[in-house]
Amino acid sequence: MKQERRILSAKAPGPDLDMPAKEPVLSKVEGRMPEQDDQALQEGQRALDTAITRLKERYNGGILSVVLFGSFARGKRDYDDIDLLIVTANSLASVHDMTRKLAEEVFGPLFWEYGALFSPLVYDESQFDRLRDFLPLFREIKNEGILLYGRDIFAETPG
Amino acid sequence: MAETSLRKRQARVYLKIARRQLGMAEALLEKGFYEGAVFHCYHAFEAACSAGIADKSEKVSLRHRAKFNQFRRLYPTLPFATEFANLLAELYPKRERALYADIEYGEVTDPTLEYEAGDARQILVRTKGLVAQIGDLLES
Repeated sequence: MKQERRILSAKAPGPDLDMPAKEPVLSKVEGRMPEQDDQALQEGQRALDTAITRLKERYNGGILSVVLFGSFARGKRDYDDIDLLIVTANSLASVHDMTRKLAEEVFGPLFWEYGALFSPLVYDESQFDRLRDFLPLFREIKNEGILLYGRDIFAETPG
Repeated sequence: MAETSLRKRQARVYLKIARRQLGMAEALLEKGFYEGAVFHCYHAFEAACSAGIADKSEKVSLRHRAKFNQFRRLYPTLPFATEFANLLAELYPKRERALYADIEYGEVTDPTLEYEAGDARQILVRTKGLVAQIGDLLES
């Protein structure tokens, strides 16, 4: 049985949509997620859907972008965790404090509810701008990432 | 019966490993190797989890997601479930961030600058608490 692509509903306008339109770099969800026949992938997708909803509810405006990457994004059934790149507004909190807050308010509860393990990589906007051309992982995310929420940060020129 | 007895012994050894990992984390923290302390905290957490699974006479899964879900299934009404899940969600993404130095565009990334003393100490205190609670659960 094929599951409706519920992640599509999680894609919502993020902050700063008044910015001038730029050439998109990241893939959108459409056409990229595999058909979810597999139970483990379906469970992961439900957890991801809930994660995006809660991130929007709790940090509206504070989170600039959420990008899915890694084995789950490629639809591998034996994925271990769900990799997310999360870019926050500079004023939100230190990266460590933010990682802890996200663990307590979003990803921890989701483990107990769904059994889903998340690996969020959290950067604030200035860190991301500084590192975007240096971290090889960012190149992988730029090539394979799926924008779930907010801005296409790879399409923007660092200030 | 023999297998049950072996699993119980396996649980005790896993618990011992968890406590030693905590000792390593503590020693590294005192020496200023904060990323190493966080790394060993994660392994203490995972070993304690394995102890809990073995204590229920089940074979411990090798894959992370399977292992932590096995623990979750075996202890559905864990009194410290919230702290377990929150600490797992914090430690899991942090566990390997200190292990790789990449070279790209003539620059070397330095993940050893990732952690500060306060971050590592807080994680150690929480992990010690959780390992102690799992130990109490198994030894009561």
